[in-house]
Amino acid sequence: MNKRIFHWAGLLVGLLMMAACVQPGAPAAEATQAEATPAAAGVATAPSIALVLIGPKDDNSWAASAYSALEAQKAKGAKTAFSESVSDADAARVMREYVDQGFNIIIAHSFSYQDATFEVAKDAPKVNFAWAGAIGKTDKNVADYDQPFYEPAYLVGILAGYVSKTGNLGALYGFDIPSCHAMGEAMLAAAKTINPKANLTVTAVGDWGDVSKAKEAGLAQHDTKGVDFWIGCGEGPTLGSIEAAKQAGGYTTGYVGDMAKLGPDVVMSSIVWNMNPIFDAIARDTAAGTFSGPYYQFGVKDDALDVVINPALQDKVPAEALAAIDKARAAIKDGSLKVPFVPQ
Amino acid sequence: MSEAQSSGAPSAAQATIQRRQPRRATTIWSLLAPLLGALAGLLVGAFLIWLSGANPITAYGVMVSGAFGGTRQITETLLLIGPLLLMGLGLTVAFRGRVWNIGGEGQYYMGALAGTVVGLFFQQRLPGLALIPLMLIAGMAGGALWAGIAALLKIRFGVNEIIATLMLNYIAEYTVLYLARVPLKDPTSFLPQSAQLLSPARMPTLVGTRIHLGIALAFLLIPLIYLLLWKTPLGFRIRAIGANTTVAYHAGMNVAFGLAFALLFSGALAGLTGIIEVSALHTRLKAGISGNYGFTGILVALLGRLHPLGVLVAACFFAALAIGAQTMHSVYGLPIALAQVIQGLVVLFVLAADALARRYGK
Repeated sequence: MNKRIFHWAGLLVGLLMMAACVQPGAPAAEATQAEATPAAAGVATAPSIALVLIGPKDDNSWAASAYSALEAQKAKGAKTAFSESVSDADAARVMREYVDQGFNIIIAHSFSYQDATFEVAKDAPKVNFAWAGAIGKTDKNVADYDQPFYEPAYLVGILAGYVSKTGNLGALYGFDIPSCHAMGEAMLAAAKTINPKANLTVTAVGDWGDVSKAKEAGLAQHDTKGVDFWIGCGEGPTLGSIEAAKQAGGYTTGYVGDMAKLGPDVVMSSIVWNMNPIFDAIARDTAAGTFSGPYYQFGVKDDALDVVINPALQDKVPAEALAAIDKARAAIKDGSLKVPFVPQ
Repeated sequence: MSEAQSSGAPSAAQATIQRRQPRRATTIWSLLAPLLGALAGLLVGAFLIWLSGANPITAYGVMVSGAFGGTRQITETLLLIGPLLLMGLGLTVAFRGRVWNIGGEGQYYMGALAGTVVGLFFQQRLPGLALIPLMLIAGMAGGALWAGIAALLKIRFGVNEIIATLMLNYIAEYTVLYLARVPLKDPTSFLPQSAQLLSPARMPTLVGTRIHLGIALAFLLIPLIYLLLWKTPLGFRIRAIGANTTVAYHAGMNVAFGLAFALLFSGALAGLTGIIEVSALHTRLKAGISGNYGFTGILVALLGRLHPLGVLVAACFFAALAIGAQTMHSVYGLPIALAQVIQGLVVLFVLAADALARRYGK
């Protein structure tokens, strides 16, 4: 028995060695070279950036926004790296790894990375960090970046005011944190300018990723309060609202990513987040040596946030709604409209 | 569960076989099998890496250096061995008594809660020297009390402890998360998390390193658990109950006490793990403070053959594997899914080889 197993093991080792020897000509080697070229020939002022993500980079939402901004930096010649699906317990270790690798900038794209970020930043004073706190908490080498999703949520509210038949709007939050709370309130405020009877039903699902729980919450909002227009804060709640809208009828809103494909008949609009201004600013400040733990605040007026209408549902959107959204967007940009921020 | 049961009971039949054959050969084979299993898992993983268009040898090089490549890497591995070891040691005691505690996760949360509450309350009134032991005791008490619910249900009403401990996990987790974001919420912050533990309530570290008291405690417990299980009457009683509950009962042993002790003890160590991790790493109560140690700990205990030294080896293996796999993604850029698949493959092959060795290796 033992001998037979050893034979098999020997054979497997042999196979691996063969596979390994064949390897050098394979695509991986090319990929490594291609990656190495821009860094070697890169602009001296393009600092290297590492990104730590809490979810998968292609989530069509929160993580994807940051990942595409990282890709943009890479295209500009920066050396980049990223880790996805990093749990809070692992975040500090991954960041220390990047510090060791000599990265100039580390972006910790989750508010739950707070303690890990500040701890590692203290031990690595020459590296610049940024975390997704949106509360203005910074340190000498730690920036925070704002997420004023309530601004585009106001534009969504205009749409809701025109489109919702019942005037009963629903909001599904992962948790009732300020950035979520302000989204629902901004949507309601805008809807009321169109339909004075508009009202808002809020459910904090208690989970950022639990789609089925959020769907049940959305259906409950529909059944008990007649909700027919949703906004979600967090990926799970938003996907849940899409499923609820598919089943109960009505429309919902994509969350920090164009989610029209996920529900072509129900996702009427999506809030989209362009994180390039944030990444550009961090890279610029780091290259110039002027980085001193700023609080980056980019919103609708900086083209960092906006609302896109699902082309498949374009004909369901009244023309005056589109005009009103354009007008409000322009008003936010020129400063004549200040969207109310209601954090709790 | 059959795998678990066969490892939990070094049965009479097994003993007979061991007597008939030279014992050393069995031992060597049983040590070799997991290694071969790991190798086979890595080979299959290498094939997958090669399919993905990357170089398996470079990837595995990154993996090894990610776990052992320098002082920082070894520190990280040690920091991860700590909780796995503590959890695995506690479960070793439970599983030796055939008490299937699947609730390490919930006990971890409750220990973290109890210890953190003590820490938050006393951190401005007591020095660390007094506060840290208090927090650790509170953590153990929290974990033990939570396990105690399952023990009570089992002993008084015959409720299966697997179901009770598993279900209590959810209650514990959601209770702690609620408490963290409502009554214990950091008044200075909007975020759904408790206030932060200040320096007196943080695990003291070895000068100049990040190795903390919790790691030392975990290693210290290795010989202590050995002594408990094999050199004390209580340990004998637990093992007797695990070998055959009926016989132990008719031999006049207090089976209920033995069961309760085994369950509470593993709960206490899970709770201790919780408060150590919060104090050393997370610094506050919030979502995501558990690294799934309650479940990984089960694998660590079983793979370690329910022996403290085996548990140490298994904890080192799991820690290095987890960190190595993460590094293959973070540094080498292997897709995270692939890194996690390789991690799972290696564990699966090790378990399979272990089972094969038990079946045919004798």
